[in-house]
Amino acid sequence: MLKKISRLLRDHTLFCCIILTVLLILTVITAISLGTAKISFGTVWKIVLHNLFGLFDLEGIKESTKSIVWRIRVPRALLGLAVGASLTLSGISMQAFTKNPLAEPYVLGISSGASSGAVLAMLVGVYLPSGKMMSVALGAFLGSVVSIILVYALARTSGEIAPIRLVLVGVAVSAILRAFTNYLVYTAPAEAAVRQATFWMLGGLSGAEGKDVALPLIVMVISFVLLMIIAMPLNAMMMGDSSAVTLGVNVNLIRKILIFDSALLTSTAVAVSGCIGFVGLVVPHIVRSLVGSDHKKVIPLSLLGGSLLLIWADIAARMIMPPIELPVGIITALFGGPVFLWMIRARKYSFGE
Amino acid sequence: MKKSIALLLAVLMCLAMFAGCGKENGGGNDPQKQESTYPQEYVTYMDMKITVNAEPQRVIAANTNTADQLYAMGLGDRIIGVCYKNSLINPKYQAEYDKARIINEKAATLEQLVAEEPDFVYGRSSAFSEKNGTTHDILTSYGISSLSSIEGYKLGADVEDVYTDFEILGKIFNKQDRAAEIINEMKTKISDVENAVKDKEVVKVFVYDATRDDGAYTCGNNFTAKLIRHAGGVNIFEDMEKTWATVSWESVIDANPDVIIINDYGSETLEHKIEVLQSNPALQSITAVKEGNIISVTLCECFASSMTADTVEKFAKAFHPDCFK
Repeated sequence: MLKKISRLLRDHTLFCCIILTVLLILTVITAISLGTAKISFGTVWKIVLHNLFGLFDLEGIKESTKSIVWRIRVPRALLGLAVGASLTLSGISMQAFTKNPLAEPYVLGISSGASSGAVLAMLVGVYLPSGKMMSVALGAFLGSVVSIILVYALARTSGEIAPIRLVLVGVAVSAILRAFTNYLVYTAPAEAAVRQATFWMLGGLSGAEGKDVALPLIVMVISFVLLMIIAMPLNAMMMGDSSAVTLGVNVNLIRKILIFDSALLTSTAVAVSGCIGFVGLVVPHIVRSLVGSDHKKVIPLSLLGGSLLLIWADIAARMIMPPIELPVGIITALFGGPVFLWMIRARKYSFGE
Repeated sequence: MKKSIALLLAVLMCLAMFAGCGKENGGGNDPQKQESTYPQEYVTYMDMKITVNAEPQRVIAANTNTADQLYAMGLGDRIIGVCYKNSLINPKYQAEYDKARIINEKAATLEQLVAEEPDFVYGRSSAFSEKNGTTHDILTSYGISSLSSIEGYKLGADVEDVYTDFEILGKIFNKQDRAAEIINEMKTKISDVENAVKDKEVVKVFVYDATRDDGAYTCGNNFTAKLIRHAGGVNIFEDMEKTWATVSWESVIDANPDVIIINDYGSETLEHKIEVLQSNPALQSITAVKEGNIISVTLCECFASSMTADTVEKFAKAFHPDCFK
């Protein structure tokens, strides 16, 4: 069974991508149709199609129902798509860069940087020039950017970045930033603010708003195109730097692109959804175990797989015990983990095959 | 935070001036009656500005103690749902509260709030989180007015902030008389208590919330500490510049409190918390444990609610029983 799927995915990647895209569209439709508020399938789609194409008359539909569908559920489903894809693409970039199977989107210290930023925004109350208080999301974004710059600057030696240095510097910077966050939390006068900040970092899509969606989607598309352009050099680099250089690959340039791309993807995702674990680590491995390490196949399939996984995890997070929503990271690890373990055992998969 | 308080005060002063004008013009037969005018603007949690355009008719109480405040204001018939039913409220309103529909056992999500079509949501600041997409600004964008109870987000909140909560509710719901009644009752009760205990030596009090990381989770200089002060006591950790923290048992023993107040909430029963204190051999030297001076409060009693003055009285009776014979 698995072998068949594997062969199908490898030999007919384009065809499989189309099928997965159709699945993704169906998944988005399902995600928009489900929620704690009971709204009929017909009503949901009348509202969506009305807003998209001006079809149907919305007379008799309550204003609150329209808000729920168009302003809460649609952004949430699209955000799930963008974040799932972003984390997966970022995971691929970092795994390719470090040639380390344990590399994940947060390897550049992004999660601890984002935590510091979020906690700082929440606890200290940073005021922006506009006179408004800095939001936790913006704090997380700035925190992650600061950590990336730190890691990048410290890992660079004579204009080059060695993968192992990057991992080590990432670990050290993470530790420092985490200590800083803990210091802030322990000395913060107000318990309520601490809880808010840590709760925010748990990761999830529940705060999705329409205006949050455009940027992650754009970043996702740009990164996808960028990664597809460098897919062949990435394949060459998997065989070792010297072989890549012989094949005429500018290894240093490709690495810079990978870091930039991963940083952009992850910090955008973190700013809109906190830190969601596991997706960026596991989806690329699952896809590789099925289709091999050709990046031309791994990249599009992972993008679709990541989106699918996160949207379904989010559906589960809000449907398992309504009206309470579980943190989505629990679901991604609880269901993604066993699948991953099964694949490792069934396929005797090892990284870089 | 200072800015938010200043703004709030400014708004309140403007409103007070309006109210004052109304009284002069109205003159005549009912000089006490104050009519609210709309729209009203307030600055609440995270410095967010909220507007109330008309007297709210469909209200959600997002937390237990804010539900208590609304019931005390006589607004029970306008409450369409509540969240977090995790504490008893003022016994006078408990029967009514028991009948209220629960929207969510925890914080409601944006989808749930919007689906209920409320025109006013009143809760603790934690109910209006960025994470759930339910900040005051976001709710405003859905045409829903919302307000945070002050004690939950203001550092150093005291009973005055509870009065302010009620004053604001009075204006929002055009029930300023009822608000004044509640506030005056509270003020009288608290000043009676303060008078009764004023010549007494201040009693040392330890607030036990739970055991955490092998230490005691307790409050520092927070609202409960203020209530203890009014009742002629002092929280042994009042000097701590934090609202909540885990402290070592050693520091508790060292301070030797005369009375222990247990926060009674959550899945750990009160009996179990008392047992933890009484069975810990290291704590047997503490006066409060030796003499069994252990009392408990519910969440609603130690948050801003209609029971705030009752809580002060309850504390005082435990601290200085001879003053209330």
